[in-house]
Amino acid sequence: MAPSGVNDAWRAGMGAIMRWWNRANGRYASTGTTPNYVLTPTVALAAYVTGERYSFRANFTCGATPTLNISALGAKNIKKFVNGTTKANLAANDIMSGQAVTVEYDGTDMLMVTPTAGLIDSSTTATTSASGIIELATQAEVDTGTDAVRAVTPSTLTGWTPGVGSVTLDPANDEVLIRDASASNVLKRAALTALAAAQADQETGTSTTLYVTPGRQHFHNSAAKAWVNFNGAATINLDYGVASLTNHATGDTTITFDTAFSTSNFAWAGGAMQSGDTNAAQQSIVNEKARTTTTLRVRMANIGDNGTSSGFQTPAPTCVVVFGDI
Amino acid sequence: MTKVVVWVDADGNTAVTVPSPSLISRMGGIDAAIAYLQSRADCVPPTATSVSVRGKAEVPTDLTFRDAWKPDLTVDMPKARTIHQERINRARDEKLAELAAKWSAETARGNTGQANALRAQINALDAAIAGVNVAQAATPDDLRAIWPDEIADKKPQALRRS
Repeated sequence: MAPSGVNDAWRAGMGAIMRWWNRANGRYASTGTTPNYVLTPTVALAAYVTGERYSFRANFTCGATPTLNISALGAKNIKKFVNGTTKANLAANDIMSGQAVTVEYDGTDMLMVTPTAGLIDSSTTATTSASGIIELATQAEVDTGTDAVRAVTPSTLTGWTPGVGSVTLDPANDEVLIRDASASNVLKRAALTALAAAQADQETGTSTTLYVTPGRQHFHNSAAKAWVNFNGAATINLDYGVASLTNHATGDTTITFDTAFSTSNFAWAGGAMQSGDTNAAQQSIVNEKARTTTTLRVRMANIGDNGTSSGFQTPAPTCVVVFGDI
Repeated sequence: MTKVVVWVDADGNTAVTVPSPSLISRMGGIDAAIAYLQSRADCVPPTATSVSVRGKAEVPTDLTFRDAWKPDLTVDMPKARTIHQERINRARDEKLAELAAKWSAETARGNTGQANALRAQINALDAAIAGVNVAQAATPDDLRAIWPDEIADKKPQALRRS
C-alpha cells in the first residue's frame, strides 16, 4: 500500500473515532420540542445499536415521557430504572434544560445512564411524588410533628414523644383514643376488646384485671336483671329491664322482661305498701302465680290485723326485683 | 300521651298492658312501644280478644270494682253487685266467727248475760245482712254506699278510702 493510501485509511479511522467520541460525550445539543428530543449528528447514525451509548445536551426541560430521535431513526422513549429493576417513564423535570444526558439503547428504549435531574440537583427537595434530596429530621422536629420534608429515622421514631393531651375511651367502638393537646385530633386508636369485660367475663365473675363497662355490668350474677316500682292498674313509676306490666284483675299483674332469662329458674323478691295505708298492722304480701323465661305473674294480697286475708289488693306501690341469668 | 293496650284474657278478665318508661325511651316514643308490645306474644297474646289501644287517662284510678271492668273500661254492674255481695258475705263470716267465739267463751264461764248480749248481736247481724239489697244499686257509687254498720270494722280498704 502506498504511504498516501495509509494516510487516507488512518484519517478515515480518526474520523470514525471522532464521530463516536462526539456521540458518546455530549458534543451535540439536541433540538426538537417537548416531548421529543431530536439529535442530528454531522454524519448520520446508520442504525440504533443495542448497548451503544448516546450523549447530548438537552435543549429544553422535559415533560412527562420524553423521547429521543437520532438521525431520524425513530423516536424512542427515554426511561429510567426505579428500584433497581423496573423500567419507568421519565417524570417531568427529570431532564433539565442544558443538562448533559447519556442514554443507552437496550433494543427497545433509551435508558438513562446519567442521573435524573432531581438526583444531581441538591436544590431539589424530595416530595411524596418526586425524587430529590432529603434531610434527616432531628428528634425535636419529629416530636413537634409539623415538618413535611425531613425524614424520620428508626432512632428518632423510637424516641418520639408526641404531644399527647389526653386518653379517652370510646365505648361505642370498644376503643381507646389518644388525643393531642387540643383534644380535637385523634393521634391513635387502639382496640379495647382485651381490656373490657365481655358478657362471659361478667357471668364468670372472677377476673380482677378487666374493667366493667356500663353496657356489660348487668351480666354479673350479683346484678338485678329487672326491677319495677308500680301501682294501680296502669302506672309504672320506675323500672329497669321491664318491657311492660299487664294488670289482669285486682292484685293480679304480669311483669314482662326486656330480655329473656336463660332459664325460668330466676329468683325474685317483692314488697308492697297497702294502698297508702302506713298502718303497721296492715301488711301486703306479694306472691308468685306463674312464670316463664320472659314473664313473672304476681298476686298481691292484704293481711289484716286479725291475721286473715281480706282479699287480693292492688297495693301502691308494689316493688319487684328479679335476679338470674340472661 | 301515654297509651295502654286493653284486651280480654283467657280468664275473661279485662287486662290492661302498660309499656314501661324505659321501653318508651328505648323505642323512641309511645306508639313504637305499643306496637312492640303488641308484637310480643308474652305481652299481648294471640289469644287476646277485644284488643284496643287507649289513652292511659281512660284507665280508671278507682279500683273498687276492678274485677268488673269491661273492655271499654266501664263497670259491669251485675258483676260488680256479685263482687260487692261477696265482700259483704266475707265480712259477715269473719264477724260471725268472732262473735261466736266470744259467745262460746262467755257461755263456758256461765256469764249468761254476756252470752245473751252476744246472741243478740249475732241475730242483729243476720238481720242486717239479710236486709242488704245490692240489686237496688244502679251505679258503682250506689254499691259502695251499701255496707251495714254491723260489719263496719270489716270494711275493705278500697271502700274505706272512698
